[in-house]
Amino acid sequence: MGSSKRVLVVGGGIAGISAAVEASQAGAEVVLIEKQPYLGGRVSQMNLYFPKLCPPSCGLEINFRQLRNNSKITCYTQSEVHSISGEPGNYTVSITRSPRFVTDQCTACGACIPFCPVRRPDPFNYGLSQTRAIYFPSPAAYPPIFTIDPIDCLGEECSQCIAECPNDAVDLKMQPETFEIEIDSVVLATGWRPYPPEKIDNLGYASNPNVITNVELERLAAPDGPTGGQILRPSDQEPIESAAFIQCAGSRDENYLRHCSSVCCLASLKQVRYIRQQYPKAEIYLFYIDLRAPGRMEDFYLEAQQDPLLHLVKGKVGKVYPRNGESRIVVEAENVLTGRRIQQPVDLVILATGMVPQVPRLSGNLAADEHGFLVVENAEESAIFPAGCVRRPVGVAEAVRDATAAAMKAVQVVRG
Amino acid sequence: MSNAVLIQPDIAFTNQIIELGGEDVFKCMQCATCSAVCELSPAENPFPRKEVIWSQWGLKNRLLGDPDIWLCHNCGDCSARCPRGASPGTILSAIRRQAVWHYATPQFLGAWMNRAGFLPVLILIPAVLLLLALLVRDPLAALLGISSDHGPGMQYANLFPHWLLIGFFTSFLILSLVSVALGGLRFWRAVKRSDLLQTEQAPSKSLLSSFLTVVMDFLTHKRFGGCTVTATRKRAHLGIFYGFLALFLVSTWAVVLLYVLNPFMETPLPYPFSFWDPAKIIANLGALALVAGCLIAMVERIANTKTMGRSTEFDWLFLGILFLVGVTGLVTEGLRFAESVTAGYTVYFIHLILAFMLLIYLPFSKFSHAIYRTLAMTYAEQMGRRR
Repeated sequence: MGSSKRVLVVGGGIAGISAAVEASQAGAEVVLIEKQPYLGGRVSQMNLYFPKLCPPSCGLEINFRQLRNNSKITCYTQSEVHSISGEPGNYTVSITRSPRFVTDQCTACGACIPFCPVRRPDPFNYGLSQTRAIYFPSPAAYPPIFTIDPIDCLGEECSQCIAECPNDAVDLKMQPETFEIEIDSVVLATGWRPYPPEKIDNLGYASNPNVITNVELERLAAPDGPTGGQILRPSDQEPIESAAFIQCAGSRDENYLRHCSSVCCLASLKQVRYIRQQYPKAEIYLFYIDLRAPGRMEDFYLEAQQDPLLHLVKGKVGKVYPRNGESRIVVEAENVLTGRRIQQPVDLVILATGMVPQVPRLSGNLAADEHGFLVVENAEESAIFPAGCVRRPVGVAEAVRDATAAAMKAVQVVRG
Repeated sequence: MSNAVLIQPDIAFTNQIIELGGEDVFKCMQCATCSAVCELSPAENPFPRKEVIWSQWGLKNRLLGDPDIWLCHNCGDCSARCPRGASPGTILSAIRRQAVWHYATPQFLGAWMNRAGFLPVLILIPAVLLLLALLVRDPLAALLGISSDHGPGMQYANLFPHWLLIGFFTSFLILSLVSVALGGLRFWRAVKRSDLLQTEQAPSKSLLSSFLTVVMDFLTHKRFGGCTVTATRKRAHLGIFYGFLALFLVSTWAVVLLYVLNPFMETPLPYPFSFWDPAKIIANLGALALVAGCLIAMVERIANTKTMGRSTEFDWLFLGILFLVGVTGLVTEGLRFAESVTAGYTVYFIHLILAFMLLIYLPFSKFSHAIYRTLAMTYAEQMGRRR
């Protein structure tokens, strides 16, 4: 064997980190790049894993440790690939790294925070809370230092943070840098994003703050989330007495997102437990077309059926509208099993929106299926291996398995 | 299941629904979005979700006796929201078309109405009958001792004397009305027999008061107001409805005038009406409303296939005849004022063919919705099934 393989992993979520660790353990030199200023991706935004119901820090921290102690992995956050050229075993990749405006001198002491005059919606909390323009991007910030939002920051005219920083760690003059690397193969683990709920105009997301999405509920339930883990009605921060889950919100729907994301049914059943844990007497309605709980996941579903205050209603919700003079929201559906139309008022509506593949914008076309998910090409022609949710909508365990498989393909690429 | 039902699917019926416009029926996955978004669907056993699965299963008798298919105004809210493009609104249209055919007497005319290629025959029938009427005009007039002279100037009565025209149309119209009444009766029986709710519940309202409520709804077009995605449909139907009503009333008035009033008057009221005669004004406005309504409806059908569904020859035949009756009527009138004899008589003859097709084919065409919908809505009103 000659010199070790060089693998680029795009995406620092659970799939990308897994691929990077696995490839490095197989002897490859790995470059891991992540768009966000933190690692862990969507998993780090979850409250609990499914189905084990342990916090995501479990799996993530083990992986972070493997990354940190591994000299074979170079990690760039706030970086994006914009071109990959060449052939299997001989690719040139161009990467642009956005400025962080905060240097490694930062100790995350937070002295700057009270002095920043800007407030912006926190994307990590899906806009359910605000941060300053200088902020700690996530509990899994990598490197674990502050960062500055280049769009919302008032710039050098303000410079309050510079004045207040005891370590001189703020540098508003930082510029983006573009560099090229040579690699043998690529694992594309760019993941997914939630389907934009405001597009589903009959489900009231845009007009009613108490209509939220499944990913937003993860943040509301998470101890490090905007409410410290308390599930409250967003409009007035009051406790809830009832909630309705709307399955297939925009999914399996040719007007919106055609495919089934395969995990939302079980994710909602998991989230029913979040609510049940905090509200033992809450009436919870879950409207579905059909509940997909394959294999051993059926146990989870059967267990959910034991909850006497969980009403599983077969029938897709057609309308969501506010009730006159009340903060409650009415969801309207036909219960297919009873043939009755129901108008159910609830405090909180959760839209189980699906997963949209997040495909990087690269020059040259990546092969994709009819739904936009990337497909694995013939390894002799392309050593760019999609893995995880950019390839197929899957849960965490499946994404990790898929990433491992992709990493194994990546390290076996034969140089032309 | 405690109350197991033995299903006896009629595959031929399902295939016919597919053929008559409901070709996307098997795309449906029974998510029930349609029933939840419909503004007209009742709280108990809402439509159209159940009708779609009945179609998939080929439950012919249930569908033919289902009043709900006639509560649907095909406004397209369900089709616009359908996640599968199954177009429930169009499927219900196809079922209605089936029902019309099923209840029509004689059956062969129903079959001709539903088979593309029979249109020339459908046009030839009135053409031949009208020519025959022309042939017997003079001998018959001699036999009955009626003068065929209607005075000077261009008068369509010189081609078809009033007694011939009215006699001809009245006899055929009676046949047509008998046929549609039979269809209506059979439909009403089927509705009662199938009893959609299967709960034998007693009517909550009397038949008469239910009927009157429904008629009031027709006059205001209240139900159409519920449609959200195709708001223009209400306007189109209002135009056609009142346009047709105006023309029908004026025609009736003309008959009454000629044969009931004038024979007893010293100075008979003038006929044909002058341009500024109130009856003529109403008729002209009616014709304009009819033509405008048809135009809006046609544009909608062409432009809005997602919400309106695909329009079938059944839709176009009715809409087209209505439109052309209005247009040829206005042209006929114009040519009379212009004293353009040859063109006038030609267009008038075409107008009569179209009027025949509109009125005499009523039991077999989409026009019969006037009967079936009224019955179904009256039933629904009686049973408390209307929103």
